[in-house]
Parts: sequence; structure tokens; C-alpha cells
Amino acid sequence: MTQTTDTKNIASREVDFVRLLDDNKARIMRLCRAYTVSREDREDLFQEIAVHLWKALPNYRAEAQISTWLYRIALNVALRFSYQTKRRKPNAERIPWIEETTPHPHDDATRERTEQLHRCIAALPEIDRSVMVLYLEECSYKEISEITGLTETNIGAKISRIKDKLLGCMRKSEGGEA
Amino acid sequence: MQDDDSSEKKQIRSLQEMWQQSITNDAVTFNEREVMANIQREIRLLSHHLPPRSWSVIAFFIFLLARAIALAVKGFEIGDASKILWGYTGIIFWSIFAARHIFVRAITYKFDMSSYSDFLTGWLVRVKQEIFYQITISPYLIAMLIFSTVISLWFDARLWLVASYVLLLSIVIVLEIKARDFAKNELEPLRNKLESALQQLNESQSDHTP
Repeated sequence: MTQTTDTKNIASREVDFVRLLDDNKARIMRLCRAYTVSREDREDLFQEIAVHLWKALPNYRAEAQISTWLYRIALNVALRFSYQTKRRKPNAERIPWIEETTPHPHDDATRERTEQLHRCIAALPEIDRSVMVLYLEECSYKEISEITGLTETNIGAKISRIKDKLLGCMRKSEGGEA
Repeated sequence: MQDDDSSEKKQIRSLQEMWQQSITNDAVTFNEREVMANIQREIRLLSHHLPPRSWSVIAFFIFLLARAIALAVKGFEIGDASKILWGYTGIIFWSIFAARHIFVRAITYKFDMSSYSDFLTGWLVRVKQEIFYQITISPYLIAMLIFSTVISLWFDARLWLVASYVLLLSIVIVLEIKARDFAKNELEPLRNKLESALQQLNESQSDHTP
């Protein structure tokens, strides 16, 4: 009887987890992109985030928004991963279960601007990068505060400074290309 | 002024759209079965408090500790000071090694990735431990190793013995220098960053407290 209930619980957890991952795969992948350079590292980080999400899923309480909870875990794993990357060997046992196709239906100029945006974000210090990524994902100050642990006032000041930096970086590269 | 603000808002809005369009859900595909199989495999490894690697480390530790004790006992029996010394060196070395291994594993499993504060604290403890080991403990271990080697060679200075001890010691010293450089150049700045992030977090939490 208990075994049947356990099996049902695991099955239902699997369904929830796959749905969660499917709904948020692009968000997670964009975040992975901000913290990694190579495609292999991106896929390794995605895999690590997925493992931590699965581990944390039974402790998720509905009073927090699922996106806030998800970003918090993903960012913490990404931050740790980005420090470990220097010391880490590529994961030899990596299974290519996730595939990212280059989706841009856009023209070359838009593609180049998008690449530039990613480069400008990657150049930011880790904490600024976390805040900016969440801002670009359209999280509210309250959500960013819940995810990063910083105060809303602090986030407001940070975002205003990082926005200037980011726009400056984008302008500089456009100026450089012109 | 208002025009500037509105232009900046437009630019930021355009960046947000560009960011969200850069990778869309359609562009990421995965196989559910493979996802679950892979996750289960990783979880199995994570959920073992002592994974296969730890068992092999413990087995190796027990073997070397037994050898060290046997050497020390034999040293006492035949009155060979160098053997007693090597025995003690071995016991201290492998005890520190085992304590460190157990500590690292314990910290790894204390991590709670959904709590930012716990995450920073756990990581900081781990980094501080690594710095303490590399900068404070290791030089004493190396000094002890050199002392034991010199005493040992004092009693028995056959050429092949001198050559092999010198070769082994050189490898250990080179690795130790590399590890110290890493601790100074990479781990100390990381510790400072983590401390500052934790302090910022504590300050922001105390701001919230009425």
C-alpha cells in the first residue's frame, strides 16, 4: 500500500517536474548563457540546475511564486558553477539530452545585436549580472529582492547604474561597428 | 529631460525583448525519458552520503594508516628511530586527509540551493577551510615530511634511496606551491567576495527588521 503511494508520489513529482522544466526551459537556458561561454558548459549547467530543481521540488511551498523559487535555485547553482568552471574538467559523462537550436529568424544585424547584448551582460560582475538578467526577464523589484536577498532600494539603485553601463556598452559596440 | 527618460525606457524595453527572444522555448528541446533517467542517476550519486569515491578514499586511508602504525610498532620493537618517525608522520598525514575529506562531504550535503543565505554561508565555510588547509596546515605537513626524510636518510643514505626521496619530495613541494598560489590568487579574492555578499545580505535583512 505504502509502496503504491510512494510510486504514485514519484510519478506525480515526475510529471510536475517535467512540466516545470518544459515551461521554463528557455528562461533557464538564457540564464545559463549569461554564466557560461561554451555550449558544452551551458548544457552542463542546465543539467546541474535541473538536478537541483528536482531535489528541491518536494520542499517548494506555494506561498512563493514558482518563478521566484526557480530563479533563486538557478542563480545560486549558476554562480557556484561559474566559479567552479576554471577548476572543472568537462563532464565526460554528459548525456546530450537537451538540444539548443539557433532559433534566430532575424536578420544579421539583429543577430549581431543579440550577441552583443549577451557579451555586454557577460562582462558585468556576477551580482550585477544576476540583477540585470532578472530585470531583463521582467521580474519586479520585489521578486528580484526575494531571489537575490538584496533590498528593493538597493536593487533600484543597482539597476539604474547597471542600465547605464549596459546601454553604454551597447552604444560603444554599435559606434565601433559603424 | 522627459524625452531622455522615454528614449531610455524604449531602449531598455527593446533590450528586454531582444533578451527574451534570444532563446525561446521552441529553440530548446529535450527528451523527457532521458531527462528523468539522467536526473535519477545524478540523484542516486548525490543521495549517497558516501559515494563510491569516498569508499575508495576510506579504504586507501585505512590501508596506509595500518601501514604507518605497523611501521611505528616495528620501529619501537627494533629501536629504529627513523621508522618510528615515519610511522607518526604517516598517522598524522592520513588522519588530516581523512578529516578533510569527511568535512568537505558534510558541507556539500548541507547546501540548500533555495536559500541564498545558506548557500553563501556554506560556500564560505568551504572556501575558508580550503584556504586554511593550503596556507596554514600544508607548510607544517611539508616541513614534517622534510624532517622525516632527512632523519631517515641520516640512518640509511644509499644512493637509490636518496634519489627516490628527493624525487618524491620535489613532486610534493611543486604541487604544494601550485596549491598555495591557487589559494592566494583565486580563493582569497573569492572568500572576500563571499564575505562582502553575506554582509550585504545581513545588512539588507536587518533593514527589513522593524
